[in-house]
Amino acid sequence: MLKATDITFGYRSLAAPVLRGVSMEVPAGGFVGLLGPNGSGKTTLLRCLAGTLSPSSGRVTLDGRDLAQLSRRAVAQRMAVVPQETRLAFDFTALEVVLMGRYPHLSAFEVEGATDIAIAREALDSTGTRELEDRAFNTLSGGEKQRVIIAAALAQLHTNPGSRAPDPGSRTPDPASILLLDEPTAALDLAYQLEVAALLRDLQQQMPIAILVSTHDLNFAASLCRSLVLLRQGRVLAAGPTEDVLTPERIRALYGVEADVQAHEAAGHLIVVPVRRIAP
Amino acid sequence: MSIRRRVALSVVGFGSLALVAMVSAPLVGSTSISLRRAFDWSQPFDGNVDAQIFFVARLPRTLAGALVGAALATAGVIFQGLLRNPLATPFTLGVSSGAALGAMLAITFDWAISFAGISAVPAAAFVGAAVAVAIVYALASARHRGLSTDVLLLAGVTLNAFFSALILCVQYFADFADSYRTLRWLMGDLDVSSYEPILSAVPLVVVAFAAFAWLAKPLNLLSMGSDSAETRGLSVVRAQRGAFLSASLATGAAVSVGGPVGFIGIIVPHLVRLLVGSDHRVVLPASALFGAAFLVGCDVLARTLIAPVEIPVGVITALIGGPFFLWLLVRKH
Repeated sequence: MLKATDITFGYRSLAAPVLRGVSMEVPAGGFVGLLGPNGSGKTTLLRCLAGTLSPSSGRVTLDGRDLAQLSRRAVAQRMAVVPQETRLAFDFTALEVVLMGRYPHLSAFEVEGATDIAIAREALDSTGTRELEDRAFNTLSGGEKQRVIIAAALAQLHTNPGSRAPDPGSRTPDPASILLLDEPTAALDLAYQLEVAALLRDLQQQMPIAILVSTHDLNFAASLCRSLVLLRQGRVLAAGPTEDVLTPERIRALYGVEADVQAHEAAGHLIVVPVRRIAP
Repeated sequence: MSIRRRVALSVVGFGSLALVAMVSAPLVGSTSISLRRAFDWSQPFDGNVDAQIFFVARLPRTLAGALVGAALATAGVIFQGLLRNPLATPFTLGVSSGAALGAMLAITFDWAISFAGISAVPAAAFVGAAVAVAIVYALASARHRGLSTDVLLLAGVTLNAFFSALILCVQYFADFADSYRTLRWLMGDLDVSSYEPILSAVPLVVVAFAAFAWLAKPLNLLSMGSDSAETRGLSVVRAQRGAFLSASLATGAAVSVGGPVGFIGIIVPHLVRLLVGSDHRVVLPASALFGAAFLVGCDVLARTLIAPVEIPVGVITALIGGPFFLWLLVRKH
């Protein structure tokens, strides 16, 4: 379980802190959405949870152990991050990118072995990108890139069973592992957004991992997340099960937008229809 | 193909190229020599012209070319990986202008001191490079958790311009002969005429190469961006510091031997990447070997194209490198 307790964070160049006493948790196997307007601190909170930023006060713990006390490697074996967009400085193939996910499982000069390659191919399979493995990553479309990066995250979360025997059953991610995604669909068109959403839903059903996803897309969150955390001006406005949290009142408080929230039969989840902007 | 196989294949391929270049280079030149006479130990060395040309002029020059070529090519790979910019060179961050200022001060003011057995000009060049590196490093570490590659780039480019101004200023007061020697140094010159500068640079380059071997995997991760690298378990700040300092060390050592020979650090890594892909574990050893072969080859051209007149080797690499660089720029888009 990943847990933040009363964390505060401020960038030096800004006078006001970006996060002011945020507490939240991602339970094992949970699917949590992080919602909030621009500048509410979503990305900063994700970076604190991922350990790439250290909060100025408060604690982030992974299964009860302080993140700051764990090595980068130990954290990386348990927690993977999918950024909004990934641009490579050099032309690596999709398979090479996924194999980079194996970095925290190898020692400094150790080369990826047959097990690592099998894990990487399996991750490509589970994101439907196996046929792209030899393509240069930079030539892929936005949706393909995002699926390859999710595959890299899955390869990263596989604990190495230590056996060289190909045994698909033993190569599932650690049940305690966590996937953080920072607005994974922000740069994608509608079809790719749905594709990534479907992929995340499948992953959650097949693998016992916890997922935390930040997004601006309320319907994306409603269709996927079992619980939501609403962030406004660096504070938690509300947190809880999606049906309880996603109400017209909260959306008005969060975005200053009047919205209609209904259960949609065909889609099978709540849908949000923004009606109009109201004066803040 | 497994990574071990790819490394082995490229080492064999580029290694044989380097070997051919280094074996044939000492035999080619404006004066033809006979290997049999050069290795005829029955004659006294003082009376054996072939042996003198081979052992005093051409062999150290070939070794210097191989060392400088290998160091600059790999330093280019490291700087490109560190800055995540394929157009970076070993000289982008001010190392060469610091070295040039040091060398020209030593030339203009006739410093006769020698430092640990190295003569004044290479020693001053190395110290100048170290000063430039220290300034850029201090600027990039200040006001930033870790090392800011943006500040690194801006500080390096600015320092290059500032040192160039100082160089012009010293030039203005120098006499004609010293100005000519400085200019000649700036064009790059592998005519070391002794083994001492090579022997004193080798330990520095060896230390840098050991660091490069460790940096290969971290640089692969860094090409995804520093946050992504960090969430995959890399200590980003340590890798960036190691990359900056070791690549600067290799560059400083190379420049103190052969002057700021341009374009090696960009042509070689790019050709190598076209052939072997982008994995730094393959690119680094392949660039070291191909860099050695390339500079030794350029130096042969420099010595023979319009013999007996010698063209500075830096001019040859620039004539090949300039158009190549522009081609890269256009090809990117």
